[in-house]
Amino acid sequence: MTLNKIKKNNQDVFEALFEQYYPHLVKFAEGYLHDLQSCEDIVQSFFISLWTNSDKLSITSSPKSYFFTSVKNLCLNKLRDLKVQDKHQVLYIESLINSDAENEVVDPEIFRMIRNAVDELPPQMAEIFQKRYYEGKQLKEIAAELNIVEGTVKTQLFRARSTLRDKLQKSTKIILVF
Amino acid sequence: MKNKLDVGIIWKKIHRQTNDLEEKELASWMKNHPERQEFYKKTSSYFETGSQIEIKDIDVSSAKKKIYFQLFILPKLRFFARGAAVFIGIAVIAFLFNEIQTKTISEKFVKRIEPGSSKATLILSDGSRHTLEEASNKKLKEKGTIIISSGKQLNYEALSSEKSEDLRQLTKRYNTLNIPRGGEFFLSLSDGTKVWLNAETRLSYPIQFEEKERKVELIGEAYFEVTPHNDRPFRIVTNGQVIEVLGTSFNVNAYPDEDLISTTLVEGSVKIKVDETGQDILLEPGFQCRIDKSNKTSAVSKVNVLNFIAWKDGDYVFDNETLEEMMSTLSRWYDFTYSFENNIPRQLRFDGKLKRTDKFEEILTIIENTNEVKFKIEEKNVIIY
Repeated sequence: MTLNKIKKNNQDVFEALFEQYYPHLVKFAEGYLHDLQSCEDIVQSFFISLWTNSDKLSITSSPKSYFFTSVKNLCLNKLRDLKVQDKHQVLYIESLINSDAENEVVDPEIFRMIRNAVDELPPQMAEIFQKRYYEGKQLKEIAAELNIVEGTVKTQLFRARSTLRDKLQKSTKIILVF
Repeated sequence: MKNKLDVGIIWKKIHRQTNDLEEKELASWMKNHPERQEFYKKTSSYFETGSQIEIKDIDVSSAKKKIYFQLFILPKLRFFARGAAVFIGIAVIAFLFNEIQTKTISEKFVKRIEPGSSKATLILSDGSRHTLEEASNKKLKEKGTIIISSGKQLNYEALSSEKSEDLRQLTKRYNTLNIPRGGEFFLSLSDGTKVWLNAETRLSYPIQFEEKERKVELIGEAYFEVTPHNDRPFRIVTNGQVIEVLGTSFNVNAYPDEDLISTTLVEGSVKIKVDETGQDILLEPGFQCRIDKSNKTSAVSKVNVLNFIAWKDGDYVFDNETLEEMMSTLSRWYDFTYSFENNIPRQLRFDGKLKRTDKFEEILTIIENTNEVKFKIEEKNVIIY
């Protein structure tokens, strides 16, 4: 297992994991902190503690879900200082909706729900959402492809996310991790 | 007014779904807090326009350089700086400062708080004290009895050659086993009764039991497996109650600094005599008797007994326990003191299972991960805030 190699202080494995996950974790953190600098800082501090505490790690989940859960918790700690709480996982779901398809493994259950919910959106809205988040296209590109103005793309995306959120909120239960 | 804002309110605000109460809550949360206003602004715009960060725009290589410097170059630099020019010293101090800021508290201090281990002090009838520790065997002698400690376990073995008159003398000679905070020990008494003693516990018992009864005195927590002897009841005297049994397995938790005395029965049957009321309570297996010293009440209820004896097999199982109860239990085993800052909900309830060998910092992290409380450690004191 890869994490055992970190435990043995294997720099190459650490580097590979860093390269693979860093950008996705930063983007995931954006859902909580909303600015690039704080997101980068928090993910970097996570990797530093991953390395320095590698001998004390005891991870039962997959490395991927361990990484995302840890970053999520670090973000929530930061929000706690601002006296903000995320009772209904609003930020978590927002972050997953906004993240790219590669994050599927973070929380397969929620991701499946997002996909199902996307399928139920009105056709054009679903198409725009797909292009934006699954294919990673810019608003401009999408507008050109569909021959509509950028403002419409933006509005449609906003509505799509609102609808998704409402659906997801009904079907997700809050979990207090212990 | 709650002092924490649920992010759902910001979501509702964007969608024009807030009611007056939520509007007020949002306004008062933001008032006079520029950093919160900033968060509100950023969050709203994230909710409105979605992600602003493109994966391909994230600069992985410069981030990598940054943490590589901290992890692999800085430690060497620090070493080098001792003899190097002042300006390097300043650079290092700047980095150190930076590092100290980013390190979490648990990383820095927790090493001083360690899980408990097998340790005890045995006080013989002549008042002599003997320290029992892991990995050190000891053989002691009281009249007619050999006492052997393996460092984890203490055994009493009667020498059969003694005359019966001498034996009667032995029933008046008491030994005391004292387990400090952060300790545990296992004891096998002269009648074969087994006793697991938890941290901060003291048990006094005669070297040999009388013919008519077997009596011990307990302060703290212990699990007993009493060897059945007909017509020779086993009595456990604690401050607040006397437990009388013939042969059974049960856990007693009777710490003097806690209001509750609880007796949890695994098998057999026990009778509890409550000091205050003189009342007798008969307990069936799977039930727990809780006596509250503060208001002199007692209650019997069905419980999951395994949760209450898990400690003797190296686990802690918390089932709907308050933060305060949990801290109290942990503090005896990890030997620390703790204090709550104001506004911390001490009655908050937790579920969970921990290993008694878990590192203290891991346990704190697990609890912190619920996002209900945070910990600050100063030497051996833990501040919950």
